Amino acid sequence: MANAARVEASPFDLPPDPEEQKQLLTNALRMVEGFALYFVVSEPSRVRPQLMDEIEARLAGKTVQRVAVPKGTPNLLHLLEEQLTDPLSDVVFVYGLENSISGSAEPRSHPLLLNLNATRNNLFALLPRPLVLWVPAFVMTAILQAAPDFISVRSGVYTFTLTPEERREMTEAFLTIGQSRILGMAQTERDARIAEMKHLLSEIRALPEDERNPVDEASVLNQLALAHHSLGEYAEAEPLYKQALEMRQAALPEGHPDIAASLNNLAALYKSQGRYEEAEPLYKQALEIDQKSLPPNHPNLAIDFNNLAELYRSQGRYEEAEPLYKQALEMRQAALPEGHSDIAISLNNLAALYDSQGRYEEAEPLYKQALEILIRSLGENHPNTRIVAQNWHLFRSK
Amino acid sequence: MPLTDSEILAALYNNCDPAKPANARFYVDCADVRGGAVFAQKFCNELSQTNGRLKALFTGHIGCGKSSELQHLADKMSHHAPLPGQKRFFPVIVNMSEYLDEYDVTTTDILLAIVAELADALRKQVGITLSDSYLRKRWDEVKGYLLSDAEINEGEVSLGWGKAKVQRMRTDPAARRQVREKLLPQTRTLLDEINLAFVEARTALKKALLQDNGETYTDFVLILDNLEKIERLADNAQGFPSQRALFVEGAAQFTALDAHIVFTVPLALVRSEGGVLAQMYRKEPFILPMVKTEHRGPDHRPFEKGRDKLTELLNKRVPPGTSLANVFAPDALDFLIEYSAGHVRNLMMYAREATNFANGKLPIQRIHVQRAMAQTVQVLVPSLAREDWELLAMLELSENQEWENNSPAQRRLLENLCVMEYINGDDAGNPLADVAPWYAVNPILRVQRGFTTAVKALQQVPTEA
Repeated sequence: MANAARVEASPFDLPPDPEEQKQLLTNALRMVEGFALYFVVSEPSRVRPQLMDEIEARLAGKTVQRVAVPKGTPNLLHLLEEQLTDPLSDVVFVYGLENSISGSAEPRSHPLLLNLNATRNNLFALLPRPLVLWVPAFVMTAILQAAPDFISVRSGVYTFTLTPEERREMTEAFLTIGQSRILGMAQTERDARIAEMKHLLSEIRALPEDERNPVDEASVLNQLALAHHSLGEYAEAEPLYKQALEMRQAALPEGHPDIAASLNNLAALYKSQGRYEEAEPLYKQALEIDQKSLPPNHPNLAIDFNNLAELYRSQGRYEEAEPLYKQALEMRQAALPEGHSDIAISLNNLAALYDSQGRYEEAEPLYKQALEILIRSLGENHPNTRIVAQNWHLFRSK
Repeated sequence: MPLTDSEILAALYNNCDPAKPANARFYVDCADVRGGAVFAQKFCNELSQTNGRLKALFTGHIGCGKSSELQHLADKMSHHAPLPGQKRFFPVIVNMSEYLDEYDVTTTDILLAIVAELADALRKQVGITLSDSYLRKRWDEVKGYLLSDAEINEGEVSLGWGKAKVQRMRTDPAARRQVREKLLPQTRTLLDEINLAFVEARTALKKALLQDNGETYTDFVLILDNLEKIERLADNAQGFPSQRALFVEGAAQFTALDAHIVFTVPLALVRSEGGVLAQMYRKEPFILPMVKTEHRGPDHRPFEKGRDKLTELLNKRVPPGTSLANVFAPDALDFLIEYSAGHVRNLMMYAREATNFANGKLPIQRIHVQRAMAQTVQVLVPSLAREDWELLAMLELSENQEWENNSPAQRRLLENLCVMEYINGDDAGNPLADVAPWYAVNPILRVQRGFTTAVKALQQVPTEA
């Protein structure tokens, strides 16, 4: 029984050397006859393109066809049936599978992966040539979980990991991307960023325990969750927010504002799904932490009060919402210069509450005041101004 | 002229192909180290003796050699000089995966695929053309959805084009749904018509004079390979519930088919519904276990007979005139065989990649084998969560090396080859064949930190009385 515990160092603890990996892949592709399946695991945006060029250069004398997998491809077999050249090239590179398996955390829900598994034998028949799949680490894991038959016939897996400096650079770059910037990105760029983040996360998690930095890891998790959340991909966002929260709770001192931020994020996710009862205790916990750790009238506190008030309003708990909205308004009025747009947001929120309660006479001056401030501070064309103007317009037409 | 090191390595690289079932040249009968049962032998004997039509369920790990065994079965039953007292059968291996790649597969699609493949094989291999009475009768109902009138005229309707037609349905789910609506109320009729086609095929086969020595076939046997890969049957949840719906709830349709049929079924389904399946198909499912490389028991004592068999298997893959001993350093060969754990496809994969690591120079060293296996470790380990390691540790410490397949996590670990299944059979010196499966953690995982940590943690927890 002690057999397992006896072993100290694994005979497989042999980190891949990049130059050796390149040689192996090149050798294999030169030596193999007929169909064979290879995987190259690497970061998809910075590392992969150069790597593909380099391997192709080393295969001088052999022809290589590159097939990009477009987003939403349900079946690689059908894609190859359309795309393969006649006559066939000596080697086929396929890349971009990550674009067709985003959107859900459960690998078995991706048609592309299920079809890989089911059509494995057809693929051999279609392509009597070596096939190299270039994938980020998280796609490799997803294939392993959803297409065990497919992956079981592989001939080689070559892994290229990021250097510690590259990991650091990427982490820092992601932390500066805000939610609004993600929404402003073109879809292909957004998909690429998400794939990079997922790959980075896989690499970070595969590191030995003593090289992992839970604070950074939680930030990447949180960032990725935000990206999914803003795209409406709630099922993907939820476990990530939860993991980020857990990691922060374990690694940071109690009452750290980042813990409050994680609580708020998860609560917001629940709220957007209509899971109000789950959101409430989280919002309250975040508020408590911020009340202890932040100076009175800190803008984040006003946000916390406002969040909880919004939640109550969505549930129709108007009487509980009112004092919270008022408190947020008062804090902003105390801390911000007169005529600041955040004050207008608070006025608008309170007005909307009165509006829903049928307290029109109380709502009217608040709406009016909010709109005046916004026109002055942000201008007529700012999206926030337009929203409040629309509210006002709807209110007046009642 | 003797081969150079590079030539030997390149030949070995190409002979060790994890993607191909063994052909006759590479096939090694491993029955005596897989648990004593000889599937092909047993099945052929039953075929010769039975008066009815056999329905056999066949299963085993991904890559444990199922397709090789089925290929071997086909060779054996069709052999023109079978053993005395045995009859000759025409095997039709149907690669069902061609029909399972879309989302709303139904039992009706599978039945149509079977009959289309049979007709195709008969036409191509023995020149028999079956008539397609069922589909012809309903031509008006279905033709609009299948092919345009311009593409085919009614005179050519025969089961010969059934294959193309079914494949067309496969790529167009909407058309398939519509055809099914026309066919479904008459599933009973469909079964009757398929059985009529079977009678026709049998009669034609018995009459057909064959080119080799004039010996005819008694009957045909349908071998449905890769049917276990079904992931979603229409109107069922994906994965296990779909598999259950096809093989258990659909059993009545399958058993009503008047033909000898070998069905490949998912291992996890047999593990949890084996009793029910045995009842419905009137036969115990046949499980092809892996070659044992160690004895059952917590000390993982080597099972030399199994290891020798794997050496024999590798021996067939080195080019003629080359000795295995010159290709692998002795400790490299031992290591390769021990850590393959008797999984033939993994053995081939590791051997292939070790050949690559040797970089043109014989013999292949142990470090090359380790590096080849490290590739798998590097993708497998990050996919495992702490709960997975706990399950593996529990297996390691369990008294009898038993493993349940009740949760998705457990089924996944079995599918991913983190857990290996073995059967002792009668090779353990047990006069009453021991057919209960037992399990072991893949040895490449037993040396991982995640595993040793989980084992230690479990050992510290006092066990309940």
